[in-house]
Amino acid sequence: MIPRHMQIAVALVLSGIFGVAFYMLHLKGRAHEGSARLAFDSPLAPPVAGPAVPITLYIAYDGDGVMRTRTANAALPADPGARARAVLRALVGEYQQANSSHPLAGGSDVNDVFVVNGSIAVVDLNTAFVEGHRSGIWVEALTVESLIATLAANNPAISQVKFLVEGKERETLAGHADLMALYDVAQVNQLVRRLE
Amino acid sequence: MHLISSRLRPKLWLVQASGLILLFGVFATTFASWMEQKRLTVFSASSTFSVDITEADSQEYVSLNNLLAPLGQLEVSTGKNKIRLHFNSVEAQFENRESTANIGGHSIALGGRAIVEENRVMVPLSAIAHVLPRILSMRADYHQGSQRLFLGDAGTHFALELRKGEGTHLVLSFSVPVSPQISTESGKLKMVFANDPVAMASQSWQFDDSVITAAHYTDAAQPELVISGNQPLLATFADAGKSISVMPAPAVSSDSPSAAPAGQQIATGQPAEAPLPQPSANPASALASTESPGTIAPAAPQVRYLIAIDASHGGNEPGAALGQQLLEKDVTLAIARKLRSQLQVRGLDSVMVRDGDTTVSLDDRAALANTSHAAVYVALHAGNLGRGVRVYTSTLSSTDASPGLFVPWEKVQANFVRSSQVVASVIVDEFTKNETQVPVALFPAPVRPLNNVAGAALAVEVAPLRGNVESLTNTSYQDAVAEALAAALTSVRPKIEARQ
Repeated sequence: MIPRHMQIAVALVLSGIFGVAFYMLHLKGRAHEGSARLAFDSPLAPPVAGPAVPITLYIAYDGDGVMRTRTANAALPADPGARARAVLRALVGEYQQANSSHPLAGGSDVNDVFVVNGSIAVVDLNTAFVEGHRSGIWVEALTVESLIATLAANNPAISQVKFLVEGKERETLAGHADLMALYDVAQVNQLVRRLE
Repeated sequence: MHLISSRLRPKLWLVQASGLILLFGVFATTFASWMEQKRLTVFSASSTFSVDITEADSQEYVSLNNLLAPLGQLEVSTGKNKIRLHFNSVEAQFENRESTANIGGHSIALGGRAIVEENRVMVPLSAIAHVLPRILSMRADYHQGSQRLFLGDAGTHFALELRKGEGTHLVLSFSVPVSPQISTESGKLKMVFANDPVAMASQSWQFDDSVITAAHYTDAAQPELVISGNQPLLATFADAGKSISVMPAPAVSSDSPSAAPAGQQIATGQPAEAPLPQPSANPASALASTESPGTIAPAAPQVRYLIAIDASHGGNEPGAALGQQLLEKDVTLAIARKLRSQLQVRGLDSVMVRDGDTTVSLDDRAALANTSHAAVYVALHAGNLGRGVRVYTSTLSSTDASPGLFVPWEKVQANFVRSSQVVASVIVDEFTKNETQVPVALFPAPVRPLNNVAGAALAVEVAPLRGNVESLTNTSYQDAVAEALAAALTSVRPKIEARQ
């Protein structure tokens, strides 16, 4: 026979466990909603304060299947990684404009760019970028090539580019374009020239 | 109440922690059991499939309905606690909780109780080997270790023969072509027969040889043959996959980058462990130069012109959502089947990477093409952007080719990119002259898994013909694409065989 006070204590503990579990689930759901809203709705923050300088963007045009250069202005920091990130964010911002020639999903962003040994750029994309990207060889290849060509055009020292998503490797952008590869900028530039 | 609470409060955290651990344990156990769902793989002359194994009364059971349905016409009728199965001309009757069944007028012991529920009957797994022959009128060979069931002559055995001499090698002879996944580590070569119907019991072999010393076959969930030696070993295929020779790997020489044994195709299914060696540029001449009179050399392979057709995506990976009800994986499978038929009409061999709605990883797709020694790998895709057909080759160039014996998995295609470009240009020519006027374009593009394929490899993306995405399901459009591809793959054959 279990003493009555033990029964009460166990009942209280169990109800406490379930209460805390439900509360935690509730909090987790709210936090997830909040972060999702933040990820998808928040506008891209300006990269850095300071005078804007001209940068070259390689803009993809889905309809014609071509790539064209466009000059934009952006304030660029001195650090090569932050500078590369600012350039790519400007490109992503272009693609998020209304009537974009190559629309990207809302909330798409470049988390970071690490420039290793001055020549290898490691581009860390956010989840919204890949999860919201349209699927297809053509459209995915245009995105990858546009990012690489833009990066290289504004930092000629970069010879290779590697993509990560939230700091981790991912097989493909949206089922087709290779994100595991270490891209050779010279080869990509050859492809881009064929599309210009 | 206050008194009880204050007494128990110091231990409250302990009780809470115990509760949480208990809950976690329950969840973990449930998850683990779900993950480790046992399955019985059935090999028959017509198909290979698997059925779930469930546990009841401390015994393993399988659904007889699930076993019989893929093998022929099955009719089921039920009564109170009874079920009757009519398979072809045989009638089998099972009663719930009875340990015997009436099959074709004979009483058969089940070695356990049958479980009849709804429209199916579960029988003990141990009884399958003598229940099925009564119904199917063919032999059933159940291997408990690998949980595989071989019906009729579906299983294959292999014989080992150590051939000594200047080029000591171990020859494995199979009755049907096999494509094991091969990996190597120091002094050992492992072949995993994940998809091959090897029906053998676990056994070991010892060899009186200083190079290849032993072999051990394990009849497990992933049947494997491990060959031990005192030197690094490699495997080569011959006789259209019916013969595998294992021999010491040649030393890597900077003067002779193509040091792989002559005239052989070397397969691997485990790229991370055993990257593909660079193929010999001229297998025939290499064979002549390395073979000395009197030695028993492995038979020269019969080079098949085999097309690997990859219906991209599938299963949990639907690919692009082309329309509200239209998924890329369904379109690619439909075109792949049509392409297979067209190739058959033209007398070309082909292998489908998937022929159903199954999930296949990108690495596995390339591994399958490589282990089947496909001359051309065609990955079919569908997209709703643009019009017509786009053909893609790898972005690698021949200058990326590795000069060593082993090449990185991600650059395997570099050795074959010229062949890929040849095939792609012939496909473009074929579409250009095709009467259907399907627009066609050719691009290099970074498409997975082209870079991992050891053979001509290309991706073909089919877009709507005239802007209407529904045209992707149009039979005549799919036929036109399949016909043009098959015609191109036929006409390019001499060029590819010349390159081989």
